[in-house]
Amino acid sequence: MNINITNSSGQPIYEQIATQIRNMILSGKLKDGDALPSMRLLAKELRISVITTKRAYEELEKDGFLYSVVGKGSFVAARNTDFLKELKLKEMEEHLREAILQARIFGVTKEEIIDIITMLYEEEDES
Amino acid sequence: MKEAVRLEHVSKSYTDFLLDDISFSVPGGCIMGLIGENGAGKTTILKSILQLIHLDQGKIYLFGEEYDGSRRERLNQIGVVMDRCYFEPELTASEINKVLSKVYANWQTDEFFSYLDRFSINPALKIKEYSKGMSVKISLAAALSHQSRLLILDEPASGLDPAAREELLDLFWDFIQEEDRSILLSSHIVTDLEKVCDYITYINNGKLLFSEDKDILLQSYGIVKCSRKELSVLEPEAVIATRIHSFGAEALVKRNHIPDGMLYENAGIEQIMIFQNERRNLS
Amino acid sequence: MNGLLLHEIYGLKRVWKSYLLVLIMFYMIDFVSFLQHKSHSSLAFGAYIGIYIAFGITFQIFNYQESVQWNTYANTMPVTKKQLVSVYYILGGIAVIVGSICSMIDLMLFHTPRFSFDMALTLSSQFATVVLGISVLIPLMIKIGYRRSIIVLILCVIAVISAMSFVIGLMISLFDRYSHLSAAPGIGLFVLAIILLLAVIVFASFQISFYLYEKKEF
Repeated sequence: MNINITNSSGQPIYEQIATQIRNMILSGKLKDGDALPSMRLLAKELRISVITTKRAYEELEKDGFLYSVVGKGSFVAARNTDFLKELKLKEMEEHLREAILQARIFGVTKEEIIDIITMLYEEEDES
Repeated sequence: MKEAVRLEHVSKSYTDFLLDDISFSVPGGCIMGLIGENGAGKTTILKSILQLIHLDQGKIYLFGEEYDGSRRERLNQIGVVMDRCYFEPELTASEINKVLSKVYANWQTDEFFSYLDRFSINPALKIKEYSKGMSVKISLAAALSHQSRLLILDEPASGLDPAAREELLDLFWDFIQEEDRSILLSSHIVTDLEKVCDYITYINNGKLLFSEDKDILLQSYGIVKCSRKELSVLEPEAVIATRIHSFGAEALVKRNHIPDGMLYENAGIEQIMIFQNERRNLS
Repeated sequence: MNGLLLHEIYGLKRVWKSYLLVLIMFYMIDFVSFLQHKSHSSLAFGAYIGIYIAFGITFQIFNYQESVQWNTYANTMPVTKKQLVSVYYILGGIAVIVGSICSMIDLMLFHTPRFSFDMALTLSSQFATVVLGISVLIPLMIKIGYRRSIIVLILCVIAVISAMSFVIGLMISLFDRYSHLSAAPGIGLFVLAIILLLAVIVFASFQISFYLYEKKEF
């Protein structure tokens, strides 16, 4: 499991950790029921404070990505794929919303956007 | 989890210094850094907790129970490291081991020697031959070898080179792997504290300025760098202090009061200290 | 408390050699004078070695502790203040006993007549002086520290010597007064009374020391 944190980004460290773990869960790198490193071990290895890792885990627990068992540690929560898909769809919607905003600013039409999307799909299909 | 240490309205006056109404607590299972300039009162606070000095006012609680200097067997759970080694200079580490094994109820000889090994301290060497770094290390080895639940350290890193300081932090991270262990350390080397501490308590001139969750602290403030004119855009209550220089100005501002669009940087603990100090000096 | 005692004993490691040296030196001086005079000589250097040993070691303990601020650390250990103060008295007591034995050996080896009244007098007055002196010194050093105590003592050297002479003189006059009670029970009672008096003084000294130590800040 690879976690990289940086001090220079504006994003708080606990968010960076939560995001990276979340991504690993969503992408399947971490499977349901997998044990996550203890908060304290994570803090030690990343050389940050325990309260930061605790906050990251709390956030993930709140969002339903992990659950903690007293005395045993934290584990990846079982998820159904619909929920996963919905989350990803939301993300994609945000990305598209941004693209559309830019399109409006620079006068790109809806047809031109759809053309670009079609082209990208074809590229993906080819590779 | 029980608090490791709690201070309530602790005050102590000396001829030219006053520790004034200090109240804060060290939550269980975490590391708290006590920061402040030299002479701010950090050592006095640590000595108050250990009842090495008589308080004018206030109470100390250790692991939830009041501590007034009696029932000293509770000190078995506390490891203390001060800025020097207090053993008599003729003693060797082996002899210190024998001495402490008779003092502490849960002394672990094996652990002590394994720390000595880790620190490359020759057990037969006399303390008077130790370097400054070794003095701190043996005190640390002693503090870690009697199953203590709380470590209290007074400026342990002063006089240590950066590599040794990193080793020290490593020890703290190791110590804190057990959930019921806490650390309270004072230092004016803020960069170390910034890495390892969960909470930061800032003492300035005998007064407590803040005692906060470190992440929350760092998220609460931002440093705005702008022109002198632009300073006026900021709400006065949100500005901690400003520094005006020949080419503009810097201000420490509460982040949620920074107007949208205004650029700011993360504030480090040292900067927060400096600006807070500036604010105090002016008032 | 064993740990605390051990700490001081280890600390005195370096010191015992110099004491041995002084001891031998004193014994040599007495030996030489013994050879020269072959009879009871009034020069009894070695007889007072006990004073040197007892005071010296007590001083040394306070000196070492002060130079490394031992008491600051010691008070963070799970030991009571009574135990910390007891260390001074236990080690002081051992030093007194060892010193008295050394004096006694000197008197037995180099002075005649042996087992005389004179010898008992010398020995016991020295013992009493030392016990009194330490009972005063320990609370003093707790209160004002080792360095300042030395200064006080140097300034009061005259007073100290006078006190010692007074004690010796007192014992002589007491012995004279009660010497007609040469019957065993008489002398026995007398000695018992002196011992009890010293015991009371030491006990009082301990209480005072403990009180002063509690007041102290580290």
